[in-house]
Amino acid sequence: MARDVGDLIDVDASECLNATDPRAWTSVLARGTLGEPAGALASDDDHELLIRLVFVVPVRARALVIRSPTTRADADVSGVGTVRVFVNGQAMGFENVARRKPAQTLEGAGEHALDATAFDRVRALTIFVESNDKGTARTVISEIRVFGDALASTDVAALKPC
Amino acid sequence: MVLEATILCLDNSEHVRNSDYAPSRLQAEADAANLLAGAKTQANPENSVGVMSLAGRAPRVLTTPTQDLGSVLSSVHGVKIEGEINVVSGVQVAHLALKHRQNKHQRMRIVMFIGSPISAEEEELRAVGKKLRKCNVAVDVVSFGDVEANKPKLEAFMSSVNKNNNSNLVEIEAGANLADVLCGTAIFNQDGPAVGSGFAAAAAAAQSQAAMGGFSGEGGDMGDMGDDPALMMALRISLEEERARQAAMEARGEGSTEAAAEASTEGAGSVDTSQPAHAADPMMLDDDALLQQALALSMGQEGAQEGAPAPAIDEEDDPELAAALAMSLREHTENADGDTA
Repeated sequence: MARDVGDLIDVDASECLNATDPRAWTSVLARGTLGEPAGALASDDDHELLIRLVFVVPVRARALVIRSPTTRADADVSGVGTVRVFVNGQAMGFENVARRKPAQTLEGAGEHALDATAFDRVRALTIFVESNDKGTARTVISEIRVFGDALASTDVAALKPC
Repeated sequence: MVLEATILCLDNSEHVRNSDYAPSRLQAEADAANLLAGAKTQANPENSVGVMSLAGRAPRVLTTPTQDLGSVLSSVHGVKIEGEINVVSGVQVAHLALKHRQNKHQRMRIVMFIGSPISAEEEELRAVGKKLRKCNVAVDVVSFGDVEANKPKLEAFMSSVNKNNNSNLVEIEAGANLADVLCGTAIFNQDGPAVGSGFAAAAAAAQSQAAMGGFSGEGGDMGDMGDDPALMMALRISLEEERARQAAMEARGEGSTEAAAEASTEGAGSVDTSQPAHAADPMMLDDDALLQQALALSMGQEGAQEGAPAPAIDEEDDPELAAALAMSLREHTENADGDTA
């Protein structure tokens, strides 16, 4: 039943901090022509990454997929380690994610089932990559996908003038 | 055409009373800030600009990022001199104001004007710069006044905040005009040199000047109105009407015979023959006819006395009218000859 809700992400309201390219996160969400991810998202100053995804309609999120490239160009980059996921709330900076209690903590790359009660009505999802798997200076992500369903509500953008 | 939200941080410490930059450091930086706000909003219609003051009891946000240039200018205008600057907390407050911008597409940028010695330690600045860099905030610094004293600290700050060359440090020596120097720097021309920069700056200057004129309540002199053709035309027409009215009064005062002669020549020679009977009464005519009459009158006077001042209207505007006038003049002189003979 759950589907990829990447198309419900409001790109204008979403953002990614500490990436080498501030727009790279959109290519991580989009899939290329062969179903492969279109690009990679790498951290810049240190290993931390903060990605905030805002949805146009509330969704019931069921699973979160985070993958890192299997081949690495640089020695100082590695895949995700501990990932803390926050639900809704204001836009956060690195200083408040460290203090705030996450809705769920995920370990490592791969497909993670999300807590059904905590992710029942998600308007915004904040993904904080706290560490990477090899303890290197930088982190790289090749794919982020959120699976779930849109809650029944009126999408004003889809209304057609009569 | 970078889409960004900018916060202008003004130095309003006691040091900016100094008048080594004309007219004073505060006024010079306020002018530069106005210009910059105009340039930023011109660069992209969705850009927004905010203002904050660095000194005082605490750094204060005067205007959150907005597209309304008027509110930016008025808050720059209302800055009061007080206390010492606090760069570290000022930058953090600016970041907070930028963080909650409406459109997350906008890149974040802080432009700091520093005209007094920085009290913060180099390490503090480096740490806060690193934090800003991590959050994708670009910082431009305009250093003036205490350029030499601040140099090492600001360079350390810039080296930690700079990411892909998005931040700039500009140092302006005493005596220079802040706004003029800034116009040529990367702070104004982010897209590289000479990409419509002159135009953007000129447009911004005109805009901010117009806005400042509005503030002080001055209407501006006639020279400024020269760029509004509609206004100039309205003024010219009203002047001509006034002249025509005076000419008609004079003509009536001089005697009924001359007025009658004028009326008859006008009826014979002018293109507009619809209302010859009313020609003597200016109040009864519509504007066009009045204008025609005034022209005929003034041309007639010129024909009578050589070397009289030129008529108000420029004849190049309408060759047909000019030709008609010339014809009527010729006939008028012929008629006059006939009358005397």
